[in-house]
Amino acid sequence: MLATTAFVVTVILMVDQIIKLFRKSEVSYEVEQVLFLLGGLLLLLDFGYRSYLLRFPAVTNTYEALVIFAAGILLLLYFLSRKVPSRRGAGQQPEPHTYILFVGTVVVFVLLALASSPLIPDDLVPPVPALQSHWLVMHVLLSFAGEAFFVIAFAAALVFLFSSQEEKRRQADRITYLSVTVGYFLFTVGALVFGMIWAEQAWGSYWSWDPKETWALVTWLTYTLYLHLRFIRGVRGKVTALVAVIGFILTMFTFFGVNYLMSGLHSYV
Amino acid sequence: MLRSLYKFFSSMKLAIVLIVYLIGLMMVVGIWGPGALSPGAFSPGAATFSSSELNGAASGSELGWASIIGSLVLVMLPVLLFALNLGVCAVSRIVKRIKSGSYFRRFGWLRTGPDLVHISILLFLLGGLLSHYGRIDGEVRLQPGEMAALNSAYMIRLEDFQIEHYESGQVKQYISSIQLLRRGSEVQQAKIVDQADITVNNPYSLGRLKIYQRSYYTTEALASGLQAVYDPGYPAIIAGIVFFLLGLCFILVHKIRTHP
Repeated sequence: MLATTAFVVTVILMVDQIIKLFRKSEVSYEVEQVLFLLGGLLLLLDFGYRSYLLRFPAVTNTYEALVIFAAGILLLLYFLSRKVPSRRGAGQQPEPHTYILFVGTVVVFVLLALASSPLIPDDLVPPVPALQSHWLVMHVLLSFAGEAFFVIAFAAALVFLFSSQEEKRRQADRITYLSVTVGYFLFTVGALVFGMIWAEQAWGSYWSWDPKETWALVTWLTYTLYLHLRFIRGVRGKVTALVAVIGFILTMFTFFGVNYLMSGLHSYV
Repeated sequence: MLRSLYKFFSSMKLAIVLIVYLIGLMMVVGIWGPGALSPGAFSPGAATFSSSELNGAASGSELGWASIIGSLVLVMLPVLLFALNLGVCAVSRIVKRIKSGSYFRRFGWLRTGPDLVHISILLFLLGGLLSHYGRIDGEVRLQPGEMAALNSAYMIRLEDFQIEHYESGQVKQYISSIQLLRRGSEVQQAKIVDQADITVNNPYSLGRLKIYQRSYYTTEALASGLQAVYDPGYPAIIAGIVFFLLGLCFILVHKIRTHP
């Protein structure tokens, strides 16, 4: 119910943003700020309620992963919307952050559409023995926190690639870099470090070349590439933006593609 | 000659090429690689292993995949180049910063962040190498009352094995209650030195050896599958994790301080 309400809020957000993107008169984004926060809090409530019923943090199946991931993105979009001007004057072109917020909303829409669909069961299933671990909880939460920043980086990279104005590209590039930097930190700690510790505790091996582990490493290497490419003169800009887009595609493949195309130790989320 | 080698191995462009190559290699591994350790370990009726001495057997590679992992051209050489490139870049960076004194300025120690991260990756590579060639693991299937030898000094006896369930009937936990015995000259002279419950995510440690709750069996009688692991790569991995976390924190704090 809570997640469905958050999905409805996201749909309203998306439609509202589309209308305002094309409006020529003065627009205010204050309503969007409230809706970002509302959607994020509803999903957090859903997470909290399920955790209460399960007597364990609700992070152990695909539905719960989608909920926590979408919550992280919405709250990040809320904080981003608070950092930028909430009004656009009549006849003014939308700023890069407007498009970033819109792309982020579309990503959340897709995640929650999946979560609301019959493809992803939302049954309350208590964790199997291998998932009963604090390391697992930290691994999942920090991984998705990092990936939420990668969503912002993806959106900003798209804005960079489709913008022709130098100032807008500069802003988009800066947001991409900042988002990747923070996301990289969280993802590295969550996905790799805590994942390795949990794997060793649960299965006696910190790395098993499980498809999920391997594709998470591919994702991590891609963002490592992004950060190092910025040191090479003449490469910053289009190339790094493309790498940020590819990184996000790989993030999504690691989340979804691996689950449904391959089997392995991570056949929970 | 030395200068050319140094220039080659300290090149950021070489690092970029190698990272791109490793991405491609990992994609191949992700699609066609050995995959997971069998998750079927928790399925009933799994294969039976000897319940006497735990056999040390090198693990890490499966048949067929071993040929690729061992492949000099596709894997070992690029990884070696990557390690060399990383090592030379890390040392070069540290030396430059020591010479310029940038580590010794106010909050200069935060600039060691990237160096700690680079060193940690070298430690991970070292740990991986040690694990790949030196890891020993063995699995036993024990019914309550049965014993298995761990090594020349110790044995374990499975006192009890329980499977806890949720109200729905789903398995909640596998619990092996074990006794650790120090061997005497005869089996009967073995002395109990410790007792513990081993569950999933809660292995038992005996020095550098760890015993994990790995599987269960219900054919014939209820039995527990325990796995003992000795991995010489663990210390390097743990050190790598510490350096990694410290390095990332230093980088983040440095960025916040210098670009608020």
